[in-house]
Amino acid sequence: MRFTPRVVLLTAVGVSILLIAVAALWQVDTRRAASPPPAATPQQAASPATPALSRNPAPTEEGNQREVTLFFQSPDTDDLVPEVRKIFLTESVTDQARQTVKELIGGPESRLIATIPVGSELREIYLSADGTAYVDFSQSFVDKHPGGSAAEIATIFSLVDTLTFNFPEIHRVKVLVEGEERPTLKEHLDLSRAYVADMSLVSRTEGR
Amino acid sequence: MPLSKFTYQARLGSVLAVVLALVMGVAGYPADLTEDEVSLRVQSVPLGTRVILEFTARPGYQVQKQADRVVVSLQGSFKSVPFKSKNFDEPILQKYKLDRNSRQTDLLFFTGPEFVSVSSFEMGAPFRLVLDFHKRTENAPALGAGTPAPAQSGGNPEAPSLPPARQESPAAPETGAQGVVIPNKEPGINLIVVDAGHGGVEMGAKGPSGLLEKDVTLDVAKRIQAGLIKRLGVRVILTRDSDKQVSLDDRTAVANHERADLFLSIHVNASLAPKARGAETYFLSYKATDDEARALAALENNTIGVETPPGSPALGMVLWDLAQSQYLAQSSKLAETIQQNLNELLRIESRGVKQAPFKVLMGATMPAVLVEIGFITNSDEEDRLKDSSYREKIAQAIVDSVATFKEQVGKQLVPR
Repeated sequence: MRFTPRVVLLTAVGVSILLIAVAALWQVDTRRAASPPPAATPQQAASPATPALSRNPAPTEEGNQREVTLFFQSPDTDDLVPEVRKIFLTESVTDQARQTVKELIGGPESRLIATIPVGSELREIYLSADGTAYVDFSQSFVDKHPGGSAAEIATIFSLVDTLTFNFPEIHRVKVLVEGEERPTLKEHLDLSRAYVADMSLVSRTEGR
Repeated sequence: MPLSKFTYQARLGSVLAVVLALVMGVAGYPADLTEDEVSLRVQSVPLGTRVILEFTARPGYQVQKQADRVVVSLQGSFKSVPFKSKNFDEPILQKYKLDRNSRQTDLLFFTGPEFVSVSSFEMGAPFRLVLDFHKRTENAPALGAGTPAPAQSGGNPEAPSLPPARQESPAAPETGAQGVVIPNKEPGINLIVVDAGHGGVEMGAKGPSGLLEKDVTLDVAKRIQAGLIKRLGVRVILTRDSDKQVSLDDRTAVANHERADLFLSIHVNASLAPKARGAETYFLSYKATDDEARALAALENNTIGVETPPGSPALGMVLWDLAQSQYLAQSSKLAETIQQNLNELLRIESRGVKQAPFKVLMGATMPAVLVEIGFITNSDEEDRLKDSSYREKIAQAIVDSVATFKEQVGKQLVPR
């Protein structure tokens, strides 16, 4: 490609668009806090991975609440199954994420199976500018985990899928225990990395 | 015209976004190291002593073995952190010293009586040069039994005992332009490492009536070892032969050091759903993180494996964790055979081969699979797993699968 003035101009326009897009993403957090939740955008409504699920935070009758979708273990298959909850539409995404993880720890209301060991405490949740959520659990998250490949995958991806599904600001999730990185939970999945969503683990049919 | 201009801009924008994302991703090394610093870490590993040199960028370097020392010569002037010199007073590595002028820096590692050879490999993002100081291996006792870790932690007091290593010739001088060096070896399946999952304080999963995963895996691993020797006449090494803790890194380190042709990790599954039953066979997945998927894509686009050609632009992105990447096709084939045989044995058809980023499979420079032989959390399967004849059947199904795989490799039916 030759660097004609036209190409230079288009490059400059492209860079500007990119910068504006980045700036817009930065603003999402603040705008969400100041105004009622935005209506679903076409892309969000037509999420290809899970046609049955709607990603938009629907306003509720109280107005200061939003819906979140939690993923729990199916009792009958290996799948994760969605269950919808309400959380308070508080100011920051971090706080909403915190409420959501606490709901996940609390377990399902239906006949689904909890994925986070009973007794685990959420110490803190941090959201970095690059879209990584650091979820810091207490030691009991490890100590009370049953181990096994299948159970580790269910635990980690119920968390990762829940956070990335409900919060477009969260692109990946990294698990910490007592403030520190761990190589694994119980010697299976590598926890030194941040995970992106794996919606293939989520059941295509609605939970009961 | 406005429409085509828009799509052109959109395309340009997306290209720029990708470039930006790549730049941001690559720049992710720890910020506490400056450009003229090299960080030194010393660990005790089963094969001897490992020194990890970390840089902010890949320097020009050369590794030379001399009479009483190993010299790493770096182009440019470097300071070493956290120390400039150190006395280890250990039989493999005795002393470290830095010697530099404005154009060159020599890192001098004075070796001891137990030292035999040095090998090196590179790891990417951040750039690390790893030096393995191999110890004498004839009649070697288990590392850790009599040989304390030379410096700060990293050593595993209960590392598996190692049979004598195949002879290695120290390449001197060994230039660093080679990427990770995969040694040449005889073709076919001649040496298999069988890894009994968990052990010691790492008990693994537990059944409703108290059966422990670590006990089942050890028994089944021993049965597989006996079966493989009897049926195939191959050499088999267990990563542990008693109830002791072995770190995940040491498990693959044994296989890599011994240049094993196959790595089989034996586990018993646990599910949050008590009904879950059946066997699962896993091989490594890189899909789980965007960073690694990107690094892997870079690898594949350059059609390079772990043996990265010098000067490749992807070199800085090559992670040691990706060592397994060039064996995925073979690992997948072996996993399929094992899964099929276990499904037939257990009369379950619903379960298939799975992929996951399991720590124990990373860094294995050979086909590697993890077999979950059944669910200990299912009462029925827990009961069956207590039965020695059932364990023997499982072990035989796995031995049969390896025999099939060995035959396929021999007939070159397995992708290379």
